Amino acid sequence: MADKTSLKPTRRRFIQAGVASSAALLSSTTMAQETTLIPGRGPGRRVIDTGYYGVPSEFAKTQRMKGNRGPGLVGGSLTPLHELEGMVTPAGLHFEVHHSGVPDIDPAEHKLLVHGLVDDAKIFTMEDLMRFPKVSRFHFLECAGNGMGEWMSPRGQTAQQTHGLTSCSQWTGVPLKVILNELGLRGDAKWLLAEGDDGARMTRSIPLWKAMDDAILAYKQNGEWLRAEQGFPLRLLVPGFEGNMNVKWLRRLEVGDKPWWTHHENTEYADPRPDDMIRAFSFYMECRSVITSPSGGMTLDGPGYYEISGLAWSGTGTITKVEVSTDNGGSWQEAQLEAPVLPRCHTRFRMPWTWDGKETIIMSRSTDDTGAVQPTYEEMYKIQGPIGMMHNTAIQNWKIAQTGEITNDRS
Amino acid sequence: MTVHKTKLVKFVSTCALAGLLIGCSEADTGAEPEAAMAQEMPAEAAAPDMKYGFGTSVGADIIAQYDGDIHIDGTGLPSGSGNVALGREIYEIQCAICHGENLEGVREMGAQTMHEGRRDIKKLPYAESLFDFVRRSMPLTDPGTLSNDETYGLVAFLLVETGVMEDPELTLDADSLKAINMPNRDKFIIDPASGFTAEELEGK
Ligand code: HEC
Repeated sequence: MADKTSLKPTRRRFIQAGVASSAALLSSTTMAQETTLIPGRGPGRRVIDTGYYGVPSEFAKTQRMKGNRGPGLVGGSLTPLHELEGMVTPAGLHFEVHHSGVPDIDPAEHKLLVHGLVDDAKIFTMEDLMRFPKVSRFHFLECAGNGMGEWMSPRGQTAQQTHGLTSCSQWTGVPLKVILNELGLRGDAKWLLAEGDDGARMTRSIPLWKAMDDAILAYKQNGEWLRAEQGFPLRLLVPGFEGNMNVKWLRRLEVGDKPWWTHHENTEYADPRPDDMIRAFSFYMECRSVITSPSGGMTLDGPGYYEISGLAWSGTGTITKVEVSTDNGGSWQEAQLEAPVLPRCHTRFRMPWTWDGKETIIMSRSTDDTGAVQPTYEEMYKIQGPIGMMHNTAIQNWKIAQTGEITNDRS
Repeated sequence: MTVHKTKLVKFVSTCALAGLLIGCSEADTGAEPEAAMAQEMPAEAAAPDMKYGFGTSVGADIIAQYDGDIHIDGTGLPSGSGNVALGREIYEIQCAICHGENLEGVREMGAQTMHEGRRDIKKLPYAESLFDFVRRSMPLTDPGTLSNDETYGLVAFLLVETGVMEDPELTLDADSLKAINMPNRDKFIIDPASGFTAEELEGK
């Protein structure tokens, strides 16, 4: 037995890591009975049937974190950024926010009406929409409220809690400009109203210039159908704009000459300022980054080599630089950006680091191709006022104690 | 176009190889502009003025079945009317369970106060969009069930309860609702990055 396991590094690692269920696994017979008579190599190692749609190994526990306001009609979930690698978020771990539950829609029944200031109003089935030319693009999607709990003081323990309302997928669909061109725009057209088919029919106003630029009516995510919570079967994608504008379960687009000042754009997703003013129509999710490893909730295993790695993204363009400080902002070093580096997309950065075992604070700062640089909290307060909530782009500090324990601390 | 295509191919191949073999580090910085193009290419490939003929043209009757929104100039406001008393009655039966007896919000039901902060009714720019939201989205457990009269009544009730309107017997219909000037209307700062000025977004 000992000899055999030594030939199986994977198995040995599981045992060393003390995975609680490994003993149970060795003696478990239930799955073996259900699946096959052919044993895995080595005594007691079972084989499993991974079904028609693969799911993560039972040892892989990476999960979203769910949160609801009230009885669950308004709620969402956070992406476990600290447990993920690369720049794409698996669809099942993509964050989501819904304002009146996640509807269960039959794509055969679903239709999109496009009307208003157009020459020829049309209704489209999903089949119709999928016949138009397609594009596939990698884009991040971030909730305007990502990190809103962090505004006044650090609260989240992990990168999932502080930054988990951003995710990145490859989205496929028809460019919205193709559809608008199909209908013919009238001269005074300047805005679109996008309406979802959730219970409360969430609406947002979208500037026409964005619709004619890079907006997509998306039906596929990472190659497969959108997940229900991502708007199955159809969502609007306005790359780089706040998540709420990327209306899910899209049922209607109306072309108009003014914005509608809908509930969600004039209250919840607007930003009250200290001087009684309200900042509104702030579409862009601006230049931002976070170190995902090592990060809050982790513990370093003594001094030595560690790779610092994280994500940077910007709704206004392409990330051109990420700098990392391992001495509480005293000095900065440029991290490597890992390809692909795409506009309005998560970008993975990496930097080798040797920890000397002393208490310190690590942080990252991103720059995009418009020259925008990620601000500190002090700088952000100056721009937005100290009682904001939405569009928190400030630099994230992770404090490393002598014990190696990492906490969210910006003192 | 052709130039872009060559670059695209080059980017894909260097990156795929480098990505597999050496972790794709050196190639990256040089590849940025190509990468950007890789995302823009397909849309350009679609002929800009092509009409495909997919979808079904519809007239006013079908549109009316789908469209229920109110524009800030009042377009879409339906006929009918309702007063504060009607609004209060509906509110107590259908809304107070979540929004509280005095609009203070019931946390466990996910609703927040409508007297201050982000959900402050006084701070809304247009009474039209309040009507629009209530009729389309509320009550959250059964949206789309309020009649036009009930919605006018509820809007009258909400505006009086939050001190925007004074008359405790206020009755609203399309014309009187359109005539309301919300007190916070001029307190919105429009993000210049939106490409619009405050005046361009005015409804009336
Ligand atoms: C099941 C609980 C529930 C019921 C019942 C309900 N609401 Fe709401 N209401 C909410 C929630 C939650 C929100 C916030 C929605 C969001 O964030 O998207 C809201 C939002 C609102 C708003 C916007 C201001 C704000 O607080 O965000 C108004 C106005 C409103 N509701 C009016 C009503 C009226 C009028 C009724 C009765 C006809 C009603 N609601 C019934 C839960 C409820």
